[in-house]
Amino acid sequence: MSAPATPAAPRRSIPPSAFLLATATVLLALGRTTAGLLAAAAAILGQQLAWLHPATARRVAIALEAAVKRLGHGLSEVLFAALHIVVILPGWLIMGRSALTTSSSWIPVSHDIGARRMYSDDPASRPSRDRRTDALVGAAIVAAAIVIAAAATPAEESHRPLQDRATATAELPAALVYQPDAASVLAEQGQAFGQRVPDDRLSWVLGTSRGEYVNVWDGERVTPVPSGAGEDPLEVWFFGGSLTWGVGQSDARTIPARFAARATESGRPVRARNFAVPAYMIEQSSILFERELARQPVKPDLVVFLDGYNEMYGAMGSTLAGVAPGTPFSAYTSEGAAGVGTGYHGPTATLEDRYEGVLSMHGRGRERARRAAERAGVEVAFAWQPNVYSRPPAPGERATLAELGWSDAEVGELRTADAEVRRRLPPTIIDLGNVFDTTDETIYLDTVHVNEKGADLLAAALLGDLAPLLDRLEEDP
Amino acid sequence: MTSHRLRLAGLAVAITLVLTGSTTSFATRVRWVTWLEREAGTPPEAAACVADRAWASFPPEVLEAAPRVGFSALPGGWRERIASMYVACLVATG
Repeated sequence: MSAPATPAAPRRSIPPSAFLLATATVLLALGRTTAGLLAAAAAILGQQLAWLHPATARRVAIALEAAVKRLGHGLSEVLFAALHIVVILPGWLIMGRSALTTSSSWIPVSHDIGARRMYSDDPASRPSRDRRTDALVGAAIVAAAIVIAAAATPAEESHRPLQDRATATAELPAALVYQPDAASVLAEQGQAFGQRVPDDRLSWVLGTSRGEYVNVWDGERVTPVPSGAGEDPLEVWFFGGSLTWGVGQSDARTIPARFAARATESGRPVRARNFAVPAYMIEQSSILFERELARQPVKPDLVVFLDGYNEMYGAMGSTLAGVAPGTPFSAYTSEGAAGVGTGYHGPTATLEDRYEGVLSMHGRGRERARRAAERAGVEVAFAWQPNVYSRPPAPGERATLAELGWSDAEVGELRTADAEVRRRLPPTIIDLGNVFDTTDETIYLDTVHVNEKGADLLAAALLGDLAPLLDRLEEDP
Repeated sequence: MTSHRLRLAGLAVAITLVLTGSTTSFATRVRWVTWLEREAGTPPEAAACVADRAWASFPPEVLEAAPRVGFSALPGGWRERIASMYVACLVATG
C-alpha cells in the first residue's frame, strides 16, 4: 500500500501590499516623492482591507494579478517586436534565411509532463562547439549593447566645460556689409570687452582700450566733440547697455556721438559723454550715474538713459537666474555668470507677473536715477530702445535671425512680448520702438544691435524728442 | 545558428537599446520640465513648451547640462538663447 497522499502545502504568495511598499521605497529613494507617497498610501489601504474584509482583499489581489499578467504579456509582445526589428531582421539580411530558422534545436515538450514551458532546447542534440560559439557570440552582443548603452547615457561625473554658442553670424551680418570698417570695429570692440574690470557693486566695469575705431578711456567710450560745438556746449551724459555703448559702430558713429553732432548742426551745441556699458541693466546704470556724479569735475546739463532690451529679457526671464520678477540683478557677473546662482523657489510667475516685473525693475532704476539727478540739479530723460522684434524684420535681418537659430514663430511671439511691454510703459518714457518702422532696410546686426545708419536714425529721433528740453537748457542753463 | 542563447542575447540587446534610448531621452526632457517648474517658477505649459523646443534644436550636451549646472552657470550665448526661447514660450502659452 502506498502512503496516503499528503495534501500539497498552499503556495505562499507575497501580499500585494508588500509589493506596493517596496515600490514606494524605491520611488522615494529616487526622489519621486508624490508617486512614492501614493504607493505607500495604497499599500496601507490594501493592508487595512485585508484585515477588515479578507474576501474583498483577495478579489482585489486576483484582479491585480490578472492585470499584471496581461501587462506582462503585452510588454513581451512589444519587446519581441523590437527584437525582430533590431536583431532578427538585420540578421536575416546579413546571414540569409537561416537566421529565421527555428528548427535547429527547439523541441516541443509534451504537455503531459506538466512542464510550464512549451518548448525546450535539447543540449545533447547539438555539438558542444556550436553551443560555445553561440555563447561567445551572445556574450559579445550583450557586451556591445552595454558599451552602446553606457555611451548613450550621460555620465554625471566626467563633464567637460560647455562650449558657448555663436551670438553673431559666421560671416559679417547683412547689416554691416556696406559699412567699410565693420570687421575692424567688431575686432576692436572684442578687445575692449576683454578689458573688463571686476567691480563690487556693478559686477564689472570697462577698463581702458585703444584702437583705430573703438576707444575706451577709464570705462567711458570716447566720443569726439563735434566741430562747431564751441567753448561752452551743453553737456549730455548717456547711460545704457550695449546699444547705447555702440556695438557695431566706430567712436564717431555711436548714438551719443551722432546725437551731439546732429544737435550741434541744428544750432544746439552739445558735447556727449558715453558712460554706457554692454549688458548693463538700468539699476547698474543708475548706480554708475551716482558714481560719475561724485567723480567727474563737471556736472552734466542733461542725462539720458537709453535702455530696455536687457531689462525686458532680464526681468522676464529673471526666475531662470534665481531672481524674483522685478528684482534687479546682473546679467553678467565679473566671472561671466548671471543672477544669484541658485534656483528660484517663489510662487509660479505668470506672463503678466513678468511684464509687471520688467516695468517694476525699470521703475526702480528710474527712481534711483531721478533722485540722483535731482540732488545734482540735472535734467534727466528716459528712452526705451527698439529691438529686432519691434517691427517685422527686413530680409537681411530675417536671414541673420535664422542663422542664429530663431524660428519665424518665435520671432512673432517675441514681437508680441515687445509690444506688450511697450504698451505698458509710462508716458514719461520716450518710446523709440517705432523708429525703424518706415524703413525696410537691414538695420540690425543681431537681435538688438544696429549698424551706423540705425544709430544715426535713433539719434535723430531722440533729438526730435529732446530738442525742446535742449532749447530750454540753452536759454536757462 | 539561432539557438535560444542567441535569441536571448538579441533580446537583451533590443531591450537595452530601446530602454536606454527612450529612457535617456525621456528622463532628460522630464528633467528640463521639472527644472523649469521647480527652479524657475515657470507655468507647466510654458515649461513643456521650452523643453519641446529645446529638444528640437539644442545639442545633447546642452540639454544634459542646463538642468544640472543651472541657468546662471551656462555660457552667455546659451543663456541668451534660452532666455529668448523662454520668453517666447511664456507668450505662446499665455
